[in-house]
Amino acid sequence: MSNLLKYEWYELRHNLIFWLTLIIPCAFGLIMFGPDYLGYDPMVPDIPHNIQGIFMTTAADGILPFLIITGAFTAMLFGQQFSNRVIDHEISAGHSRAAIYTSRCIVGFIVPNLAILLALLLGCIRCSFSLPLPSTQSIPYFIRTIAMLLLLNFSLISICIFFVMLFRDTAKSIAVSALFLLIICWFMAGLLQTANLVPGTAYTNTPGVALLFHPAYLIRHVLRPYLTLREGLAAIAVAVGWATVFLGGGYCVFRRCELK
Amino acid sequence: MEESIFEAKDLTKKYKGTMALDCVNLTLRRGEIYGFIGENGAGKTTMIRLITGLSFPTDGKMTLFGKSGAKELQKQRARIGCMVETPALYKNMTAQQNLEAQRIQRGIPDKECIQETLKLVGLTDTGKKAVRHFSLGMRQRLGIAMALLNDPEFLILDEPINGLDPSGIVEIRELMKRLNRERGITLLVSSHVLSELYQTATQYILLHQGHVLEELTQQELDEKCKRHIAIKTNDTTKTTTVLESALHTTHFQVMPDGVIRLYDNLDNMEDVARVLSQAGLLVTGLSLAGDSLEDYFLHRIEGD
Repeated sequence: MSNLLKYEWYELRHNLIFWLTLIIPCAFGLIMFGPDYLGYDPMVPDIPHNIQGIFMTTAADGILPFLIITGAFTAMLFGQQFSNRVIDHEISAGHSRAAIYTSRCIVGFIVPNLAILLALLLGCIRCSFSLPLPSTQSIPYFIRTIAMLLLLNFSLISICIFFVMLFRDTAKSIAVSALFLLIICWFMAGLLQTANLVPGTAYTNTPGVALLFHPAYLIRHVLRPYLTLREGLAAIAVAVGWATVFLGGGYCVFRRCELK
Repeated sequence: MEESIFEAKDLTKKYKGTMALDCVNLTLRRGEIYGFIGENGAGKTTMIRLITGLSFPTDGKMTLFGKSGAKELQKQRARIGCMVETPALYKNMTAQQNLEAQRIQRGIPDKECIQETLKLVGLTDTGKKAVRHFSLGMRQRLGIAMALLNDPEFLILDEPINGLDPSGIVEIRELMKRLNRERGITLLVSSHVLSELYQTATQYILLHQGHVLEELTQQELDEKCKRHIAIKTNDTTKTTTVLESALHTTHFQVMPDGVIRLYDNLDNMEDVARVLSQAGLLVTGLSLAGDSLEDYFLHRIEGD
């Protein structure tokens, strides 16, 4: 497994798509996320007027488009390996399909999350010149929120991994992954339009079942400063559930698939 | 040391409605160069893909280096080097980077092997040129280099001379022979260029419509393809006596079907016919025969 991860890292370093996956969200983060973001209608309630507030608003507003972009790029990264048949080397070298798949999942977890967190971090750094830093009391909030965001983001990226394994083709994987993520986001927007939103926010105190099981909505939900243990655990369970379904489905396809 | 590198027992591969391999039984022994011969769709690549784990058999059993079972087969594949169809390469990387990726993936500690392998296939001077700018022949060489990087015991090359120029073909042929001779690598080479295969292989496997049509050694093939006069008469024993007494030759062979293969007097077919009829033999067949590998293969599949 360690050889496979080293190999993945070597391949990523030499892949333009990987660098674009990192650079594009970071560029957006730097350009778009300024202090004026706090002036807009916030998507999350109880936003403090400091860097934590910037983190909350930019994460609520930016993560979903970033997920669509990084999800499509991740599908491209993995899809290329099937289209170019370089994945065949790993199989014919005697690596198990489980190990190969796990290494892809690890990369699929790290790359999009790294891109998204870097973009948010750059936005926060830019704003740190004009907004106060949060107090040290906010550290647990950041740790908890980032951990949950990593999981929820990955639950959506796992859809892209599933489609890559299903199609084993770059173009189809990118198209279907991006379209599916887009539909999921539209679906969430549609649900929010019918929900009782907290005035001035894109957040509801009474989310229905569909929203409570929707990772894209939960990404915003977990950004709130005050989150009960039950809500936190529910969000984790939903993220793990989605990831299990799609990654499990992807593995079932990959372990018996015939490679070109 | 295992004598058998690979064994297939009743190996079957079925795609939707198509039988790609039908109960194939095959044994590949260490130290040989196997020429895999068959038309398009005969099952050559399917067999290679089963050996390398890219595909799964529908039925039957495979043994690699004496080990069978999915887990064991997977482990033993680390001892194989292969190039299946066109080489699978990272087109944005250089030749050296492609090999470095392969070295990391295979967990080969010695970085020296990269330069050695590039030298072996004649790709030392490609520098920083990305693979996307390589000619077909260069890609083919790099594909072979990637298959050789782990110093395999069993090397599988599917159409290795595709896209190579005449000098490249000679180089790769010599390389295959050298690897077999000096490193004792067993090779399984599939090619459509049968004349080329004839100069490389020591054993031949003829595959047709998913069946192994015939397995034969170089000597057996030479014997079968040797130019001769095929004689069929009403009395085989008397014919041999006549050939010995009248034509003063013992350079003939009686085949199981009663046909006598006469390996000399090839330019004197009329004399042979005359001598046999003068001896009162009824000659039912007299023809000049002998094949190239292509002819032999075509005759075999036509007769199947």
